[in-house]
Amino acid sequence: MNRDTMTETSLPVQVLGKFLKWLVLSLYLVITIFPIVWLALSAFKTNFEIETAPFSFPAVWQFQNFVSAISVSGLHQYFLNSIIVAVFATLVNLLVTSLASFTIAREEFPFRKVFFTVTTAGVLIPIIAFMVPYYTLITRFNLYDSLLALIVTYSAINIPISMFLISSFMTSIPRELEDSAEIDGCSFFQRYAKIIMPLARPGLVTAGTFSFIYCWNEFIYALLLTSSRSARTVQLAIRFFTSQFRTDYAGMYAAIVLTMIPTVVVYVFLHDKIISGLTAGAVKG
Amino acid sequence: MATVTLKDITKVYDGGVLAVDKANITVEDQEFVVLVGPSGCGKSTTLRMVAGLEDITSGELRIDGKLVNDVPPKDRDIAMVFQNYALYPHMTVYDNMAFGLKIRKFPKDQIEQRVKEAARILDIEELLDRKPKALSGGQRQRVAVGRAIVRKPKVFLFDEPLSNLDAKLRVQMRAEISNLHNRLQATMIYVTHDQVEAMTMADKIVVMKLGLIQQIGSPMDLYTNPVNKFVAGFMGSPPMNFLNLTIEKEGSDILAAEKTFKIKLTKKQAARLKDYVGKDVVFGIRPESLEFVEEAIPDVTINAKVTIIEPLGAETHIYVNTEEHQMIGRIEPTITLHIDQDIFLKPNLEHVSFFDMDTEEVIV
Repeated sequence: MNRDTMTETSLPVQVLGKFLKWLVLSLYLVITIFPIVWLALSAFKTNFEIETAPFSFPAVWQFQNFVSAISVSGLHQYFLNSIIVAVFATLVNLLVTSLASFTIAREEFPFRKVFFTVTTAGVLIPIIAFMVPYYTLITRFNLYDSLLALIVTYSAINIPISMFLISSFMTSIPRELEDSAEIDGCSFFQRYAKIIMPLARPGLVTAGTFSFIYCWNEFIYALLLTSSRSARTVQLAIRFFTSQFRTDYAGMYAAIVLTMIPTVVVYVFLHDKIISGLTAGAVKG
Repeated sequence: MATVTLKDITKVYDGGVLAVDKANITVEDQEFVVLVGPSGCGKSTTLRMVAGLEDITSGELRIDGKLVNDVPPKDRDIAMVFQNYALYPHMTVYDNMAFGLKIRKFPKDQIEQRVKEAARILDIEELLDRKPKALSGGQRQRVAVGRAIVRKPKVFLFDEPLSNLDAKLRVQMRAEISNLHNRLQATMIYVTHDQVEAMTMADKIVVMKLGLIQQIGSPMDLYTNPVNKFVAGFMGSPPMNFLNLTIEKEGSDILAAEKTFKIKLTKKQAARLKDYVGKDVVFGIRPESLEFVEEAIPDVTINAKVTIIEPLGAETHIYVNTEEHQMIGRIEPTITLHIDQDIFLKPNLEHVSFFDMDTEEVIV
């Protein structure tokens, strides 16, 4: 009897709970997706349509917006720059942080924890705080207005977050595997390359994806450290659609949509590995 | 194959924790030596020092007479099997077994020949293309052993290799490792906390406790002549019974007494225990040395009450209470007893030990 009463009273509460949960999630989804959908639709409109009917579907789908976005701004050059910067900065970042993480996770040396804490604490500092030192260093080394300036800067900026992700992953790899590799005859670098790197792949993919997306979307440092078309990245190209008296919204939106594609593709293909990388060590493997 | 000699080997960890204190062990060529002891006794640390995975704080470690204290693991010509198998998860069974040889740049055909031979010995030929996650615990352990075999090392080291297996598989693998030892005629050092493994597999057992070697000897030597109460209690299952008895003198006889019974000691025991008259000693007797008798015999039998009966088929274990102690006896399965029954147990005085209450060292 009691049990029945309990079921009768709890059922509506359960339904209401589920309804509220889905309502909140749906609202969140709409709020998140709406600007992207709006942007994607606007990229196919004329400037007149965007100004007069911002929430309508395009009367005629203006595919030439994308063609002109590329030709007018020379987007392909910036695209190439962005790819070079993002790929190389990510590779350098992963090489440095995976070696550092391996050493920190496995080797005993004085101030090991201090070193790790100080390095990863960089996550907490706003990157804008580093603008002056980075500008000074880059100009001092005669790297201003070069892709190398961005590669070096981006790979350094991402060290804290990559260290954080990769070292926690490496710590979770059983030590016996390395002991076994050591007895099998591996040197330090062979252990790193043949055992640890393959096993830490989810961690590396997670850190690499974050790094790539950051490098691709970065604006402030690209603006600060470059000045010419040969070194500037795609995020800066978007600005060229705005002049003092007129803004080509349709072209700009088309360019933005194009710039979003690589990060979306990277995330879609790797999101499974990213999630496993983020939850590594949560349960015994 | 090779000899391994540990001379005054000591390990002190950072922070001053003494893990192994002046261990002296000689492992002869082709010998199967088992290091046994409870958790934290230093047995694994000792093995890891032999492997080169732990630095030696002081002492000398020699393999085949050559001092190897500072020789890295890869140059010691040893192979090790780990408790949790330590198979490389991203490699197939074949690659796992071949890895050590590849690193040492063996020719491809020789690697293949060795891996296949080891796989045949261990009956894992069907599994060579699988990844470790697709193997059962027993199969993984075979692969781990196979990885050691292919190297044809001077010394095999086993660090609790059967601990993660279920009881039945453990018994099977135990026999297989013993067979392997006979077949390869290799020097093997094996660490376990399971005294049954130690008893059944070893040529020589090293019993350790709190970093100190308690006794080294053959399994039967340790079983019948333990040097102290710890070794006596650790070796054997069910374990030895320990009773705190008072040594008394009646006329020319020396007796060991509890409240409700007295046991007259043999001449040899009496001679050794005469200085203990009026004092308490620990009387140690193994379950199989207690004989069930129908009637009480003064100064010979122990009076006890049955509390638990465990029939195991081939034998029966009985838990009995005396006035002050609990004991386990091992009796014939044909003897029928019931709970709360008063019974009489006759100790076989040829197979009992007496230990000093304070030092716990054996007296006789």
